[in-house]
Amino acid sequence: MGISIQNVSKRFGDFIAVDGVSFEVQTGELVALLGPSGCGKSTLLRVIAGLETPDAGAVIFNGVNMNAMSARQRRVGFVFQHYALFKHMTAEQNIAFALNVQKRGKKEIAERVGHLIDLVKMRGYAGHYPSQLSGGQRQRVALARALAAEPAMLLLDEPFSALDLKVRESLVGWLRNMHDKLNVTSIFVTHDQNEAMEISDKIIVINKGRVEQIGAARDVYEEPSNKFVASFIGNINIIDAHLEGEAIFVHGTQAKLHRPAGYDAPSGDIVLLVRPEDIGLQHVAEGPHAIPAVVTGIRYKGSVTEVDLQLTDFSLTALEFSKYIWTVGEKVFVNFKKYNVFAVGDSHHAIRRQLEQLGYIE
Amino acid sequence: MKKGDRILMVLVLGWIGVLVLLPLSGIVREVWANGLSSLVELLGQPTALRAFMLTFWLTLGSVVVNTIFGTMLSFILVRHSFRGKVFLEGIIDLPFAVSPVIAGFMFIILFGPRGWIGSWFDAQNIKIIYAFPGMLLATLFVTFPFVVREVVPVLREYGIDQEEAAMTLGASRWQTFWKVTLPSIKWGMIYGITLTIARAIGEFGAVIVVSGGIINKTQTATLLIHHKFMDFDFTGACAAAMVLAAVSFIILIAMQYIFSKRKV
Repeated sequence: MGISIQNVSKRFGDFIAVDGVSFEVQTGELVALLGPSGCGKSTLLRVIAGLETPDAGAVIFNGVNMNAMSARQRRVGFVFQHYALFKHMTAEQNIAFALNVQKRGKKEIAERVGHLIDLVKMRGYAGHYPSQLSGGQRQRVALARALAAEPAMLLLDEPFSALDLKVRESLVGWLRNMHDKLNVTSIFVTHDQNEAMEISDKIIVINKGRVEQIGAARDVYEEPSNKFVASFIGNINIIDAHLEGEAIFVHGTQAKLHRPAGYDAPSGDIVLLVRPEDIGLQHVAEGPHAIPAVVTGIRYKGSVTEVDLQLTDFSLTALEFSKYIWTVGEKVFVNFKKYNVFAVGDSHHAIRRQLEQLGYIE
Repeated sequence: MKKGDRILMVLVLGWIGVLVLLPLSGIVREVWANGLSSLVELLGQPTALRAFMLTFWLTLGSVVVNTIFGTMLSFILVRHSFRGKVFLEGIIDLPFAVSPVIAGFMFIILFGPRGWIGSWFDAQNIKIIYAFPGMLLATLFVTFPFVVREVVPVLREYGIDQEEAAMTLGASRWQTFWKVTLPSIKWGMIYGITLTIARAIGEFGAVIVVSGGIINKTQTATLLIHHKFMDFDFTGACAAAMVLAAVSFIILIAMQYIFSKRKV
């Protein structure tokens, strides 16, 4: 089922949760709505499901405007953040609920429920109540329950946020397989960029109720369309610099970089955004633009090492793939292998602060 | 068990014994001393049977009305916000604070033959005070808080996400209520109903004021006991008291048993 969201807005009192959001989801896609907590992504999902009424805009399924349709009529599969399983029903009864209210035949219900129980690997737990199941098991029952009536669309609200890391990792991959096997269109809400990048065909980055960028994981990571996306998706170093003609001068250094292709704003103050893995470290200066720095911290992570660096005016974090053993206090030279440039505009400090407050960066 | 705990337990059990079990045993002993003949005699009196039946109907009426309206009120209090909600929440506890005698008196002022509303009913030849409707009103008043007080916290904790889930799964409002909401708040309701029953059976103050205690007409079980006692029929009062206490006791124990069996 193709979904079209057109200029949807939703406010709660003075708070604007969703602010003129538009996007398209193609049939069979698995799409992530990604953003920090409180950005309006869950509200948007509830608007699509018909659990909230938008103040403006349209929700369109396969060309049909759904605004006047109730959640019941929309027949989407919805998986709630805290599962919302019926506590007084067993796993099996939960899964059978949609079929029971549709008054399907007893034999058909039994067959379908049995099939779903196998699909979510809950054989042996069919008679258990939600309180007797683990988080991961509840999640799978919730998914089976949502799938029972064979919806053309599956909406998942933070489906993995309440699970511990190991369970989450295995379920994320499993959801992707499930999506491919069932031939549904899925939208899931997450605040976790790794989840979003790992399994979605398309990521819709949302901040403060607005769409910041829509694209495949690679596009969003490599070509962020603004500073928010760059800082939110993955780790990034934010560096003050000045653009003059074709040259970029990094504040507090002798370094001179080139204006990147495609950036055509006039000269002035800018910020450079550099991914940790795009920072090269050398022991001897290569060329006149290498920037001297001192190693101030090392975090060995097996396949990679995170290296904290202090420069004259600012500090950076680099990701090193070499097996070289770094020591604190070591003098090195830094160069930027790849960087994105943005106008200062609304200060990157504001974005930093927002992400800091939400606990996404330290 | 530690020594301190044992002393504490003896103390508490002793206290309950003196306060609750000892007086009860007094009644039982009194009935027993008459070789149960007083009990047989009591159950043979049409007046007594009628009094017990009246208590039964008042209790049933209170349970039905309070369950329906108490549950609806709970929904309004938990699911909606409106002006004067705090005031409404305060009012719910009013029957606990007002003496039943005063409650009965209020109904007489309002519904008595010369009362504010009662005079109109009197003109239509409908009797409210000194009749069943007035007694039901008084009993409803004193038992009103129980269902609301038990259902509100359960409903609050239950939230709305299970209902939203039911809706996305295609359930109608009616199906959602019967299959999802009601089973979730069932235990709160049952507990509220138990307390309502116990209170309605034992109600005396409000009922004596509005009923006039007319034998064979508006005499409830508690009024019967009171009447026999005032009539120096001490044995008869004891027999009636034992029957009434036994009924309440059986209901409470049965409810406790059902509660202990609940699964979810």
